[in-house]
Amino acid sequence: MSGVPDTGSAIAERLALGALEYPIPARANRLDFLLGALTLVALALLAATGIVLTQFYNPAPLAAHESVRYVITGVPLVAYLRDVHVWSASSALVLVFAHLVAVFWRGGFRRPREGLWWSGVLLLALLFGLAFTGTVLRADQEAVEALSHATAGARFAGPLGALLGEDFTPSSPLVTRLYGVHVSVLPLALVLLLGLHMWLVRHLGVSAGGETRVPFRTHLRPMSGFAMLLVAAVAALALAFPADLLAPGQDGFEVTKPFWPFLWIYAAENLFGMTGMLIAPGVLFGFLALVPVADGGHPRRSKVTRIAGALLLALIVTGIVYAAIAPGQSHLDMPM
Amino acid sequence: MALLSFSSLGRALGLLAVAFLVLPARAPAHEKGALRVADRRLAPGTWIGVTGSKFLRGSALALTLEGPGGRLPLAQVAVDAGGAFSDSVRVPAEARPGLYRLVARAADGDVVAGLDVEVVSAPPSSAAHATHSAQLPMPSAEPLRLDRVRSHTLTGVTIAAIFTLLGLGVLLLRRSADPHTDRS
Repeated sequence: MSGVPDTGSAIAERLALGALEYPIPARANRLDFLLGALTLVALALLAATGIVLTQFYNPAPLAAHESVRYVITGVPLVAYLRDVHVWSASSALVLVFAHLVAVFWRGGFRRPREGLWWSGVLLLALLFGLAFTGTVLRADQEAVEALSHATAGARFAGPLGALLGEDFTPSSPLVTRLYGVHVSVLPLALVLLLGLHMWLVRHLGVSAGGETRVPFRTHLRPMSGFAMLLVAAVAALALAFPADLLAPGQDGFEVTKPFWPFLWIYAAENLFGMTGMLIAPGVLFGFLALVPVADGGHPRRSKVTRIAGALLLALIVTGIVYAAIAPGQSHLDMPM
Repeated sequence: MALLSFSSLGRALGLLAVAFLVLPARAPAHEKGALRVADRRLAPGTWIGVTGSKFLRGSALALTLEGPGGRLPLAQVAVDAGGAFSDSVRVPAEARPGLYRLVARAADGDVVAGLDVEVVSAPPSSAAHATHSAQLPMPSAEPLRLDRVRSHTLTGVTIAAIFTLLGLGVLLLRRSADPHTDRS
């Protein structure tokens, strides 16, 4: 009998589970090192619920709002999955931002992990793109206003904004084109970048210090534990606070505020007009792109970079809070 | 070498960032206006009322229907001193059914407003027309009070799943916190 392997070993051998035995720092099992994995869980929820929603959503401009309304008022399971989709989007953005802050604070962008950092920054940009295109698909007042801002920004960006221009093509409405971007282009780019990001994590290792090493297999237990808590939290939030839908959108009016992850940009628009819509993300992503170079591993420059990062974070949080409580303001008529 | 190349890259990125911020803002030539029609489902050969607001005062606009059938001219309208206009235009009889955009262009060809519409093959029925022709409410940030369908079974299953996940999650975390578990 001793020559016969047990069932667990036989399965492990055939699935090459031995590959999960590679050593990682014991500290990597803490929550602040699991935020990236939890973001991935939120993205998986988004993908799963999004696939279901595509079967019920109609991307034609005059039918889009009605299809969302139909789901909310007529199909309980899909309506709930839509709520989970919206809350998963919020969770993913919170988690990815927390992950970014944690990596920034412990200097996880330093050599040789610059590529890991930049791929993460691009992933953050893609998540904002997904959140924006997702908002637009509702075709309600908030969606139409978001689209008006984007097309105004596209005019400002010249040829770079051609895709969002009114004149790009008469054969397909902008909302329909953005639906294509939301369900194919951005997810595909996200998967490719995530692949690169995880490949780099695997081969460069996490930026956790400490001498104690444990097998990666032990990482899966806290990761699964937190993942279950996250899914439970998203499911509970979706149940308690279903996602809203406003009246069908009308062009040329500005009476709503954007989805909360964009509120800091809205705050910048309050201060600088439509130019703020380009300056604010430009400053954030410009800073994030420059972090590995600006830090350079020198103690003095590291300190300055840290202070700048902390100030920027404080500014973004303040901007979100300010925009949430400030009275609504029209920006489309403001000069660029 | 690696540090040198990163420093060059940093300078390049820095220059790009500065250029982005200091490049003169290219202001759109015209304000963005608002177009409204009583019914966004249009039948070829019928007349529709189009109103506009928030346009450049005293300007002239060309209204066109743009879609799979190309760019179909509708009318030239004059914006009044309040930045508004109101006109009746005829949907071209040759407009093929499909999704279009009703577009207002300024004299230099810039698009200053647009509205998604649909050209349908037959005129809307009188009942449907009455519904669609109702005065559009003013846009609002208030969520619609929709009559959400509820399923007690779904809610029960979801609550059970939430508590199961919470229990399993806490159990896994407690086991992973145990220093005698799985350290090798």
